[in-house]
Amino acid sequence: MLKGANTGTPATMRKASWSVARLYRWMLLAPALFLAAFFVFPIIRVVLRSFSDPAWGVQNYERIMAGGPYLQVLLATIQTAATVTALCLLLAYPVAYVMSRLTGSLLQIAAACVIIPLWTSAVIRSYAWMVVFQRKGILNEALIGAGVLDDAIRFLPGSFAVHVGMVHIMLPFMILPLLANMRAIDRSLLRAAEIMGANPLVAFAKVYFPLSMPGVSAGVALVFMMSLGFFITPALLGGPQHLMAAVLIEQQANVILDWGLASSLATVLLVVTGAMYVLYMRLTGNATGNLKGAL
Amino acid sequence: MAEHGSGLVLDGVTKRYSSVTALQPISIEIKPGEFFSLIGPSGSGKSTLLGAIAGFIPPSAGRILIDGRDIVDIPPYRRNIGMVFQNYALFPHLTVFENVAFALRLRKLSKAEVTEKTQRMLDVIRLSGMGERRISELSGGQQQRVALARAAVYDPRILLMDEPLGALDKNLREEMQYEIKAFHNKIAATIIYVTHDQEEAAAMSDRIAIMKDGEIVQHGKPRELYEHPRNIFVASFLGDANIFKIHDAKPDARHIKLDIGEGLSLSAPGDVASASRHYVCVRPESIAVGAPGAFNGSAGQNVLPGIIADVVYTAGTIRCRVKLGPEAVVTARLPFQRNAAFFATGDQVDVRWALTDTLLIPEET
Repeated sequence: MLKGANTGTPATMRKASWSVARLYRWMLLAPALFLAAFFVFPIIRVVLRSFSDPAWGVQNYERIMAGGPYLQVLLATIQTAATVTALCLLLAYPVAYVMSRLTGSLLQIAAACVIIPLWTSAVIRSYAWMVVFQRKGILNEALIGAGVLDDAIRFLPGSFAVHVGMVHIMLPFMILPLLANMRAIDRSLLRAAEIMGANPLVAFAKVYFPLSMPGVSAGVALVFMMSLGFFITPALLGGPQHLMAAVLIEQQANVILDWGLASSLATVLLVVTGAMYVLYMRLTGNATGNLKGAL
Repeated sequence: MAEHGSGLVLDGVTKRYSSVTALQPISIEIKPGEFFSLIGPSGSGKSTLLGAIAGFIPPSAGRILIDGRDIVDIPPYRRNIGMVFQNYALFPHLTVFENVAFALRLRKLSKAEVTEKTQRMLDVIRLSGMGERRISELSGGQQQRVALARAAVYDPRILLMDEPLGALDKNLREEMQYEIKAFHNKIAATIIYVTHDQEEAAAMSDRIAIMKDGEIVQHGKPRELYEHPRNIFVASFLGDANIFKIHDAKPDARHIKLDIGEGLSLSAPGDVASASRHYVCVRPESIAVGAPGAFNGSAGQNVLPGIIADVVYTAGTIRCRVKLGPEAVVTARLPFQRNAAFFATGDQVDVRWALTDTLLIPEET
C-alpha cells in the first residue's frame, strides 16, 4: 500500500507530460507539414528563382530598381494600398463607432450588413462595379439623367474605379477590428473625462481615440497588407492605366513568361508586406508578450 | 485648497423614463463640507440621483442648486464636480501621474502648477514614487486611491462617490473607509457618497439618506436613523432588527400591552392610538440572555422565556437566536467574553430588554 502511494508521484508526473498542451502541439504537426510543403517551399523557390533566372545574380532586381515601368508599378501599388487604407479608415471609423454603441437586434442587423458582403466573391463584386461604372452603366446614366453631366465619363478602366472597388471590398476588414476594439472601450472612461472638464470632443480626442488605436493599427495593417497583393479588382477595373503589382506579376509569369522578373517582383512585394507586419508588431509593442502568454 | 465645499440643494428632482419613475420628486439640502451618504437597495434610485447631480442623467423636473445656482442646464464638463466611479474608470492608456493631472491639464494650468498640484495629491494618497506607473500595475487599493486623487485634485465644489469601495475585499474596504474619511478632512470638500453597505455609510457619514423605490424614505444622522427609524424598511435596512407585528394593543398602567401573536405579549411606552398598524422593533444588542428566572423582578423590562435555537461566534460578538414560540424568534447580539461559558442550543433561557428599547414603528410612512 505504502509503496503504491509512493509511486503515485512519478505516475502523476508522467501523466503531466501528456498534458493537453502537449497534445495540441502534436496536433499542429499536420497543418505545419502542409504549410511547409505547399506554402513555405514554393515561396523559397520563388525567392531563389528571383536570384537565379535566367542566371545567378541580382540582375532581376537591377531591372526593377533601374526605374521604368516596374518600379513605377511597385510605387503605384504602395500608393494605392495606402490611399485605400486611409479611405477605409475614414469610412469605417464612424461606422464602427456607431455600431459599437448598438445593442440587440440592431447590432445583429448592422453586423450582418458588414459581414454578408464577405460571403460574395470579390470577382463577382468587381464585375458588379464594372456594371456600375460602364459607359452606359448605372452611374453615368444617373449623372446624365440628373443633368450633372452632358456626356458619359470613361470610368473604366481607371484608378477611380479601382479605388472604389477596393475600398468596398476592404471595408469589412477595417470595420471588424475597429468594432472589436471599440466595444471593449469602457464608456465610463468618457464620463470620467467629462466630469473632469473635458467637453465631448476633448474627451474623444484624449481618451476614446487613443484607446481605439489598437483597433486602428490592426485594421490599417490588415487592409494595407491585403491591398498590396490585391489582384482581382485592379485586374478587372484598372487595366493598363492602373497596373498593380499583383497584376504585373501575373502578366510577367503567364503572358511574357519572364519568371525571373516575376519572382523578383513577388519577392519585393513579400518584403514590403513583411516589413509592414514587423512595423505593426513594433507599434503595438506587445507582440512578444502576447506570444509568450499564448505559449 | 478650498476652505470647504459647496452646498447642494435638490429641489423636487424627478426622473421619469417612459414607463417607470426612477426618482420621485426629491428635495434635500446638503451643507457645505458635509459627508452625505445615499444608501438603499439596488434599484432604489441612488445612482440615478448621483447621475443627475453629475449631469449625466438630465432630470425630468426639479432644480439642482450648487451654492444657490441652478445647474440643471449646465453640461457635466462645466459643473466643476469631482466623481469617483464604481469601477474607478481610470484611463488605462495614461500613467498614474497623467491620470491625476488630467483635469489640471484641461484647465490650462501652467506646467509647473500641474506638476506641483499633482505631486502634492500623489503625496496625500502616498503614491509619490509611482507616478510613472501604468494603472494596470497598481493594486486595487492603489487604484482606488488614484481615483480619489484624480477626482479631488482640481478642488471640485462637490465630490461624488459611486460605491467606490464595492470592488475591494472586506479588510481593504475598512482600511479605505479611514482613508476616505481622512481624505475628506484634508480636502474639506462636500462629499456625496453612494453605497448599499449601511455599515460603511454609518461609519463615514455626517448624514445618511435612505432611498427606496426612487424616494428618500428618511434622512438624518446615522444614530438618529438607527434609534428612531421612521418605518420598518429603515429599521431593517439599517442594522439588524427583530420585528414583530402587533395584533392588538391594550392600555396597561403607564404603558401599553401589545399582543404579538403566539400568545406572546410585550409592554411598550406609548398609547394605544399610536400602536395601530404598527410593528415592534427590538435591536439585537438591546437584548440580554440569561438563565430562567435570572431577570425576575427587573422593572421597566420585557422578559420572555425561550429556548436557544442556535449560537454563532463572530468576531467580537456572540449572535444567538432564541425561540419564543413556534414561529417567533429573537436574535440577540452579546459581547464576547473570553473563557465565559455560554448557553448551548436547546437550553431554556430568559431574554430581556428595556421598555425604552421596544420601538413602535409604522409599516409605511
